[in-house]
Amino acid sequence: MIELTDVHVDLAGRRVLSGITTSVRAGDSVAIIGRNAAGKTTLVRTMAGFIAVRTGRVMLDGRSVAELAPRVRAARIAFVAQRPVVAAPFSVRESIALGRYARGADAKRVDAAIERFGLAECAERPFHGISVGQQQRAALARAFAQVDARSILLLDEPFAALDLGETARCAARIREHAAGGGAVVAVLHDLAQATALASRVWVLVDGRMAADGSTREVLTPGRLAHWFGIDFDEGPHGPVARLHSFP
Amino acid sequence: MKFGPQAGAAVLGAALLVAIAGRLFLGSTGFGWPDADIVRYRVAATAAACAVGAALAISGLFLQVLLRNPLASPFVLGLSSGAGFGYMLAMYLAWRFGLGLDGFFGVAAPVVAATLGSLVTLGVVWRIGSRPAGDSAVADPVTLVLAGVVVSAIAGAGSTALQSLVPAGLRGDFVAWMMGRIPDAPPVSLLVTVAVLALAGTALGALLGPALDAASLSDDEAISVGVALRPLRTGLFVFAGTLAAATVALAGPIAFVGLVAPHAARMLLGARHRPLAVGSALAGATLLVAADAARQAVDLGGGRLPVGVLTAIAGGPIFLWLLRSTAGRRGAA
Repeated sequence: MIELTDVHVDLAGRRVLSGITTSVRAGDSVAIIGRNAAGKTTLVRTMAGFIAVRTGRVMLDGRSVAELAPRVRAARIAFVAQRPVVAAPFSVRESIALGRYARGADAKRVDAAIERFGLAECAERPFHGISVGQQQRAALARAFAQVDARSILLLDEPFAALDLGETARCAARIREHAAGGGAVVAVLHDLAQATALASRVWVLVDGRMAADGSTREVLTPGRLAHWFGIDFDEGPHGPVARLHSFP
Repeated sequence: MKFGPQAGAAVLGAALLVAIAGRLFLGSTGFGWPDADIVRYRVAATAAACAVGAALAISGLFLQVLLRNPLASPFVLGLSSGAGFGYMLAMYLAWRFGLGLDGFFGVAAPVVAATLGSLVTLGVVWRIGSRPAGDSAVADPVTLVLAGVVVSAIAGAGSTALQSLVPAGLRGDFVAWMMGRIPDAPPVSLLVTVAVLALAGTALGALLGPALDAASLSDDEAISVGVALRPLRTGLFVFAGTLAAATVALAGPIAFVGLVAPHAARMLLGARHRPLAVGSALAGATLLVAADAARQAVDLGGGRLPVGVLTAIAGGPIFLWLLRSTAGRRGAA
């Protein structure tokens, strides 16, 4: 689906990504983790075609992603930002229907996305009048309304404003997308969310790919301690940071 | 009170007809149908108010989409002042070098100068208000407004400086023009230019409606759903600036119509931009024709108030209300 080959990206004169080579295939659900300013958001935005690479290639189905027209790209990739923005006073339903801009109105898909993310009760309310967590779910619903099952979801901290229950429900919907032949790449800070959502992890350190493998291989207390500079314990569902013991 | 697209447009259309009737019946000679030699002046003034109001409203609507800012309008962002400075600079240069506006320059020269002033102002305000490249979040509304206020003050100071350089007679014309007025005998070519631009802007807004809807998302998300954001923004940028400039050339800077009309239309028709473009143009025309009719009935002893003063008095409190409501929205986010 997406192939990155020796990708280097500069922003404001600073090298943000260096030598990234990896790929995303149908069925993949990938979590990108790393410290702040490691280049995680830049990587998903580069994969979405929003940022031009300095050198290297980002190919979507064999074609350069940056050279695809936005309408063509919209059929294959949906992107959800960390902070959803809807500047006009649209209802939740109208904001979700914006996902169909390039692909033609489809009320059934919009209704299905609303149901999928538990937004039926607030669908007719103004987008600005619902909670930030509901806004984030509406942004996810818009992405699901936009693309078909065998497409790619690029998510930048999609659970940042969600409570634990909402996180679990949304993670399940996103896993279903990957299991149905699509692919998911999500920037995440929380390791529990990463293990709940992803089967594969990319670790970015200073713009370089420090690790690319299964969650079991990559998320070990020893390796995480090396990358994040704090200690981890092995929990029943993956490593847990020893936040309470930090001086 | 929301009527939906068709009913809302019908309500606004009816309101415009009432306002037009009011303006045709109201004039310096009082209420009533005027003598034959007066009619053409009232018709010309009404047509000018319709064209300017609609053009200001479409300019405001485009700016609100372009900047994702409900407070955006040609006046608030300083476009009117920038256009005014460009217009007055052209007038000053024509006088200073004896070129004559009807000769060498023709009517187009002040319009071109006003357009340049308007676009430069918009560019500066946009640049100051925008966040660093790569940040897809919206520009801060208050920063944009403050930038507009400051740039507007600078352009206003430039216009005042130009006033001091011209002889008293021309200075009087400058001052009257800067207050914003609907001319009784507008230059036909300029009136037609503004009317055509207003119609073209309305058609463009209706045509691009779905793209304008999707452009209300963040940059990244708008591109992700398929909007070609760069050409859309460039088009809106040029069109909004040109519309504002043309209205300034015809009627001087007129406050708040470009801000209030899109909001009034939104309240009646909803937020979708296809009907909203038509509704905004109708609302803008209605507001300015009604204001021009109302000013015929208001004489504070020193003559009738310029229409720009009336729209500022009425529009200022509405702007403050919008500022307060958007501040509440930012606080809740």
